[in-house]
Amino acid sequence: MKRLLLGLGLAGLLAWLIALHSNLGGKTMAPLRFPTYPPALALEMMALGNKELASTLIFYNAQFYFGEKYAWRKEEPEYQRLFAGLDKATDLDPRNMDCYYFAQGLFSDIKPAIPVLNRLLKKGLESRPTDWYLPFFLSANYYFQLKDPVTAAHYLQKAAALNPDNALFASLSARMLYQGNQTEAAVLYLRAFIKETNNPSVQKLLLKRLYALEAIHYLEQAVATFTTQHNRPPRTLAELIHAGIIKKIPADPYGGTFEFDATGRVVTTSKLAEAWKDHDKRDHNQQAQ
Amino acid sequence: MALHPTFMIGYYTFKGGLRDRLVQSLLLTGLFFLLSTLVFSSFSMRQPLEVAINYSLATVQILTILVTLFLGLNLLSREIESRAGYLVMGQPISRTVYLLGKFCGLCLLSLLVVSFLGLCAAGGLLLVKLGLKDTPAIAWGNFFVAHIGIWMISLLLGAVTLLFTALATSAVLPFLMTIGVWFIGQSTQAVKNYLEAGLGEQQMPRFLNWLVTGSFYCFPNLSLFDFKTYAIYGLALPPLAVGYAMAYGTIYTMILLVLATTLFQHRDMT
Repeated sequence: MKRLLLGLGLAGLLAWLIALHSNLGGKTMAPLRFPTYPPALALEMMALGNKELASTLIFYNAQFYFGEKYAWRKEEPEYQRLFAGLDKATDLDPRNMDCYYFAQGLFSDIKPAIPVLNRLLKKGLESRPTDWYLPFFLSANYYFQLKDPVTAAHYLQKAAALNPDNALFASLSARMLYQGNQTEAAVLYLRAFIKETNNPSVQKLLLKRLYALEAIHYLEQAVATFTTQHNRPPRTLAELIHAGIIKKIPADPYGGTFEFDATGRVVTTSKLAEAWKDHDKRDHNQQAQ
Repeated sequence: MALHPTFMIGYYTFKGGLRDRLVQSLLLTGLFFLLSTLVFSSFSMRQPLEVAINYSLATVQILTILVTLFLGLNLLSREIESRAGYLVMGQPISRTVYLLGKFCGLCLLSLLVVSFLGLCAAGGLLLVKLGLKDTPAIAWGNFFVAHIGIWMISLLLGAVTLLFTALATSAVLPFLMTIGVWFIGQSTQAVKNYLEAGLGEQQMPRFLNWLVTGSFYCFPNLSLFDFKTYAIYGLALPPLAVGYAMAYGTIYTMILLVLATTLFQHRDMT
């Protein structure tokens, strides 16, 4: 009986301590730090032939750490240590896609981290040459953060080649090339891609983009001819017709109108995007109302 | 038809191993770990099936090696230390036959362990795959080859235990020394690659460089038997690498057995 009472008393005390811990919030918790892992070679030796498992364990640690630190404790995570951990995890297993996916989610918004993030993704691309996610991530980083549409287009072309049923990749990469003043490359790339794809809906979507880019390229060539002949660029596109270089201004398949922008570049009011055009129209209608 | 004494000893070693409580508890632990594959793989963001294969194979490898090490300790080293083996050696059989019989029993036991754990792992993987959509197919052929690789490692370590048992007078020493060989054997390739890539020249003294190169040639290179990456990511298995590993493992094991039997033959048992 005495033992039973003692046991019950101790259990009650333990329940009180647990409740107290919850009420104290984070006051009893030790500071949360992400570990600094030893070099990859030492990790590989310690893994005793299970380096893939060691890589997964580092990734899990990074994931749990971030979840607790950022979402639960609402503290600033140690991003540099996290990156170093993920880098070592991918040294142990360069095919560990979880690491690349997590790193892209974590660091793609931190501009100073983009060069090292891209280095990490390129390491993944070497080991996972058939995975379209990695060139897609690289393309997004080059386009949105480093403002380099040509390199972005190069990686998006890789993603498109690996995932040919996704017409958006090929279409977007052609647009990026155009934005990087590589209209001819965009046209050639789209022609080759359309020739290789068997999917009719993909072909249809890409043909529309191809016609638009061909029209822009046609106008760009005409502008170059005009500039050579008159030692100055044309002020309007109509001047090309008056000079007899072209017979008419081609139609934009997206429904826009070709014109010069402030820098004298041939652009279209449709911005080469159906959705954007509709969006602009809706905005215009809303403003009119 | 009467069995050759080697196989008779092998058979009784096998039976003795099955009764070993430590082995039974390790197998139960293995079963628990393999069932936990479902939980472990669920934390993966993009590759739960790959993580499940990775976790299962690592569990099978670690447990098979641990079972081999403990079996080596209990069925070989302790038997010789306690002089229980003298009863068998008192019979008209040579010490070579006795030692080879013990090794045969160990081979059978580790084959049983690796097959049992492999089947449990396959069951765990099928469970994981059932709960996932659009996952790649499991490369069962590679999964099987990865298990053969694990078995080869356990055979090699079994032969190492036998060699140290023939040398040492204490039972624990061969056990500890085999663990040392396991650690070195798993690392030599990685360290050699590191040195050959020219990464370690500045940090490492020259004698350490020679030590690593010497270890690479003296100790068994256990990373040769690691086919887990091929199984995890469904990569094409290079037949030459598999064939080379098998030939290397067989020849290395045979050399160890020749050395062990020669030393044991000349050992003073009094």
